[in-house]
Amino acid sequence: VRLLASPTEYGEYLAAAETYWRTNTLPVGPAWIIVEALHQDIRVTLRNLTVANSLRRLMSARVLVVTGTDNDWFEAMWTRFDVNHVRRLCQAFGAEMLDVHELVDSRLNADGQQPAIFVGGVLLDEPPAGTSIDRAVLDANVEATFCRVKRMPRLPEGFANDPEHARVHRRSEEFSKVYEQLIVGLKPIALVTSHVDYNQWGLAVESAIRHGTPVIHTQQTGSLKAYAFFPDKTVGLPTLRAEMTQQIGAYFNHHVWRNRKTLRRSAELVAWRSKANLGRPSWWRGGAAASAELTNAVEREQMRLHILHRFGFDPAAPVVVVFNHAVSDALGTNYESFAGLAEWFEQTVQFASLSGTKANWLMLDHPSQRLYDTTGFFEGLKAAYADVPRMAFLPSQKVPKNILWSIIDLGVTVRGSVSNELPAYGIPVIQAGWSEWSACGLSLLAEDPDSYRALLTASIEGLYRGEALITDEQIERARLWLWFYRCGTDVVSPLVPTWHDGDRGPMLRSLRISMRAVESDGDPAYTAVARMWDRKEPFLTRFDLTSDDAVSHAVPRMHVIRTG
Amino acid sequence: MSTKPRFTTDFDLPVTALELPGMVVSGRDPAVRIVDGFARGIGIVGRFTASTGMLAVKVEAHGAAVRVETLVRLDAKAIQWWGRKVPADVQPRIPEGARLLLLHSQGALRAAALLSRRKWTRGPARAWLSFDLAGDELPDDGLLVFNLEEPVLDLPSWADGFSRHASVGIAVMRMQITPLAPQATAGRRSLSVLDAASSERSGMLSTGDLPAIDATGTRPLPTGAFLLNPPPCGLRPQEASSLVVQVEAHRATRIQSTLPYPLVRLLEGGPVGRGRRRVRRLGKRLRPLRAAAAREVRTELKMPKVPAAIEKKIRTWRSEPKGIIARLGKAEALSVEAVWLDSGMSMPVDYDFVGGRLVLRFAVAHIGPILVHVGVIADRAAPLLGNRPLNWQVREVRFAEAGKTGQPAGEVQGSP
Repeated sequence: VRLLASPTEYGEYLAAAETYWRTNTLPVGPAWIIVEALHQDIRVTLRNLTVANSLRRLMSARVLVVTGTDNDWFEAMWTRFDVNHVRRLCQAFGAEMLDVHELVDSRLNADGQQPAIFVGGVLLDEPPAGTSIDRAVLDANVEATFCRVKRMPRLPEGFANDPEHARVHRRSEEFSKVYEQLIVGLKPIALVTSHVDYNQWGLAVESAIRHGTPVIHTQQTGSLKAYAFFPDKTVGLPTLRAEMTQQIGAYFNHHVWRNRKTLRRSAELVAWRSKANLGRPSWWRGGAAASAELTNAVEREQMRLHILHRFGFDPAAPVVVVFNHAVSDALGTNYESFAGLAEWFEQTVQFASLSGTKANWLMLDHPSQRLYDTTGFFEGLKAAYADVPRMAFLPSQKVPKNILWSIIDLGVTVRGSVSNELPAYGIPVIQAGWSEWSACGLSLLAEDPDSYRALLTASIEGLYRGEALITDEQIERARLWLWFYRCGTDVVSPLVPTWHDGDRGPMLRSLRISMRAVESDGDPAYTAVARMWDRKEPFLTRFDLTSDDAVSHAVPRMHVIRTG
Repeated sequence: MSTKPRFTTDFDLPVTALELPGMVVSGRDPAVRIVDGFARGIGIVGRFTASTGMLAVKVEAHGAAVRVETLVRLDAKAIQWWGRKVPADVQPRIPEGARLLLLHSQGALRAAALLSRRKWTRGPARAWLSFDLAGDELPDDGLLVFNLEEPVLDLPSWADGFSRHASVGIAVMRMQITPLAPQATAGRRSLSVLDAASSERSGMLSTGDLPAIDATGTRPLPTGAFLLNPPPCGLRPQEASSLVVQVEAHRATRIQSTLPYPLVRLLEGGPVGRGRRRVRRLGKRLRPLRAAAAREVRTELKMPKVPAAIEKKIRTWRSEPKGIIARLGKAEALSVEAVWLDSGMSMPVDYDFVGGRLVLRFAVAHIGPILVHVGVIADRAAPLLGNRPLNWQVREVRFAEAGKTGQPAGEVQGSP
């Protein structure tokens, strides 16, 4: 954890938290909950620990926090990760701590006798097979981890002989063994994790799922948001994210869509606020350039003429905007139509260059790409296709939302959040992969490369024929998704300051005041976690979304509610 | 053809529009709906921050044809912003160069302006960007789009000193939109002759800097270039088929070619900026030149008497170079170039010499914004000019009917 508050502020917060959590959880019992504290942002770890301790109000359990870091992550992302801050945090939350990175290091460096794992003073048996992970799953995880920490879009040529790759592979295998040992030895009732990808998180998730442990995946946005995967509810898909996509979709299509008339006003409100970038997810950029101020199609047409001129585009052809993803971000953790994000983007650019004059293509790079790519992937493609007419490559910060919305006729992404934002305003989006919302019927999904190209071709032709590629129902669904994501599944609790409260002193102060001044029973965090846990629902909900009564009580009563 | 998005939600508020006639004087005016590459101001509309900047204003025109006039300014802050905001890879870096600005509105190039600061006064340079819109070009549910950018075309070498990323830092001081009365489009013949200063104020001519409010007469061409914009409806006689621009030149006197600008302004009888003190200070520095100046002026350079005496002499200088244009013309040493700014194509210019002036003729139908440059071909002009440069200035802009060619200025002035 990286501490950006003063040590005094942190100390006062910890003192308040220690009393609060001691008195607001059940006495410790034999069961375990494993929680990760592997991210440097204190907000991430606080969310994980709050969920874990909310579970400790339902069951007597102990919490084991796994933490630590290594040079790979320091070089790739971290600025100040300090295990000592985690240690004090664990004490305040009544949890035990295990530095898994240190453990992995000592095992990798050990000659002969492997260091043992003691948790709660008990020695954990080492599973005889080491790890039961499928080799292909491990390899895929290593690939994703290697690309991420080295910030490259794909494994380099000859990676099999690369000692760095071999080192990451050995390290990942050791991670898998340690997590296997923990999960088999402790038989935890839940794994709470902020990430489900890469070696330090993803291999814990893999072990948990193999051994039937529920995984709670907290989200780093809003107030308290979390997805939950209960292995007995599986629909049989290979990754946790793919599972969640289907479960969220089924829930959304059943409970939310059913109440669309009741929720209409609320969905409109969120859609309106979103235009001014209010209530944005934490990773969206803010500022004036992120507001959408166009109000109608006439204004759009007028702006459009100028913007097309600026990009050297043909006004008679539609504009397809391709949103390049952060190229090394969580490769392969959800269903993707292509073998990797880089492959998808390259193939798309190639397709665009071959489709000749039929469409204008605007290729936008991810705003945080420099944290994910040091190989110049986007710039390389830009140079390679520099002479193709009606094709522009730009960093997305260079294209403010008004400019983008005035020209875009079709958006293309794999899992970017434009695929839930743009449909809410009537702009169709093709997804070459799955995301949390891709089973909710907002976007056009392409299953494989062939159907992707066919869908692109058909869509461009459809635009020429004046066909609407998006239906009113899709727009309504997209606006409902905005509500669902930002309101219905975002639990507001004084125990979890909203993400935009920051990770510094003022956030810890408001948290400390909440714990000292506010009585605890019925706290939305507790009731939401209890509801999700007891019903094995796929996510936390602000109120009971399965109950029509609860839904209508949560929204303004200015509508005549007609069902069916 | 394209996607029809749905931006509206149940919570959208009614949009404030500018009522006509109206003026936008602040970036906080709610009628300024959208800006891009533009920083809103408080006491001014704002400043451009990118080489292509845009603002979009909601206007309630109710189908009327309108005249849009925008005052833009190149000042010290604009130059400062250029240094700060233009990416380092833009070369050459000439923040203080002349700025050639193209204004697109409602999808078409409407006007252009040339801004260049006086070297010595360092005061701001201003220009009006003015154009007319037909009633159907400004629908009430649409926007008035004001898109300022630099030309993408390669300009001839005489424009090498112009700044790239021309719009960066340029301030939009105010924007006024007036409905055009129906008779305005019919034309007012009384305005068929304009002196250069009035042409510049109407937005038809752009020489680099708008004249001071009371100035009339000629406009100097510090860059040798000027811009012609489509004449505003109200000024154009319907039967006019060509626009005649009279340009004159005089050889810089020895004093003019060596003196600093404020003193030249003083010599020419114009305002000098920061008062007499500065002139006096400059005067001291110029002692070595006094002798030469004295010979030219044929009078003693005793400070209190200087302005009047020199001014008198200037009048004689003005008549002195009368023949220079004709002599240069005969020697085929003049170069007149024109570029259509929308296409980047060079345009043949019909010109001749009348009464010591260069008379340029442009067909009205062909006037999109045109960048015109007058100059001399150095090696041919050298024997005639010596080492003294020519000072160019625009004298007047006049509409002519078909068939009538350039008349001497004296005749024209009597006509209205």
